[in-house]
Amino acid sequence: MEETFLELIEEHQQIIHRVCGIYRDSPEDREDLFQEVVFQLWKAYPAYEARSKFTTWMYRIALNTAMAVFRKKEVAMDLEEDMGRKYGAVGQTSVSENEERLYESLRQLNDAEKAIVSLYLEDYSHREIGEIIGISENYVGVRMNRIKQKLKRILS
Amino acid sequence: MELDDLKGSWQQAGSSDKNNAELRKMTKVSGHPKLKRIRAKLLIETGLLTVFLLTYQDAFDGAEKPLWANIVLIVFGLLFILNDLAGYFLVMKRVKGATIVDSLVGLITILKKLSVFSVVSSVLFGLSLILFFSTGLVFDDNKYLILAGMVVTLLALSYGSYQRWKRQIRHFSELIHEFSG
Repeated sequence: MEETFLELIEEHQQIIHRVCGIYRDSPEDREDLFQEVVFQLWKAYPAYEARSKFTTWMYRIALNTAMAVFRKKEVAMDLEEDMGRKYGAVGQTSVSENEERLYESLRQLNDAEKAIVSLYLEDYSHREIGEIIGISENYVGVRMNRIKQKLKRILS
Repeated sequence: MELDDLKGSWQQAGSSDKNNAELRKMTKVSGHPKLKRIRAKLLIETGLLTVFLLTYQDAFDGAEKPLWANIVLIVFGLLFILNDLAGYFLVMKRVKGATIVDSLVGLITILKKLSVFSVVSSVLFGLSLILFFSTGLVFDDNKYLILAGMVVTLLALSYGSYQRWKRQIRHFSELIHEFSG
């Protein structure tokens, strides 16, 4: 069972990276969250029923874990130090800088909006997003309209 | 730029830098940053309490204290360790519901129970220690003052702990509210 699980996680680990990218600022915090998500996935795996796609199940657990860890609000830091902490710790390519910009834009949303928008960007339908989160399909539509407007302001 | 324009970038984002061995390590408690810390705290506290319980009869004249003070100290000491264990198991498996909102509702229920257990067990253990060391003493004004100071400090620390729990519970309640609008 462990081998199958590890193969699936290895194959789909980008999902965890993406969730970590929008819920955590620094590389260290992302690494901690990545480990926490893999641990929680492994703990939940025995109860996984193949009724839903593995990646859908993975998304639900990853988003849940990212939000279920209570973190005290960080004290505002010097801007330069803050930028260094975000971008300087690992060797970045131009691709990851683009990624970082994407994550940074999405991090300006609140935690609930981040969950909804990440599922939307992953191409889940409103019905599927509603099922994963536990809200109605119609309400997902309402929230998506608000998020789109909010992101338009952020991105412009 | 529209949100749909970001779909391509999003689906390309994220690396595949973790190999099988690294991922395997992450499924173990020893690979979990928070659990490792809680386990160390648990081991230290259990170790210290065990040493205390094994030596207090001689070191602190436990045999000369009333039996009830001894029993209260041991029971509430164990309750304090049990509280650490409960926290450990909560961190071990915190995602349980069929949906994200269900999981958050379940988490709040557990946190509410755990907050009461944590604050009560800490207060009781603190009071049992104070009781144990103060029984059999002849009190004068100075000792009463010290005793009052200890009780007030214990209550202040417990109040601080209660407030931290309350902040956590409020955070998750607000999160559910963000989802439901």
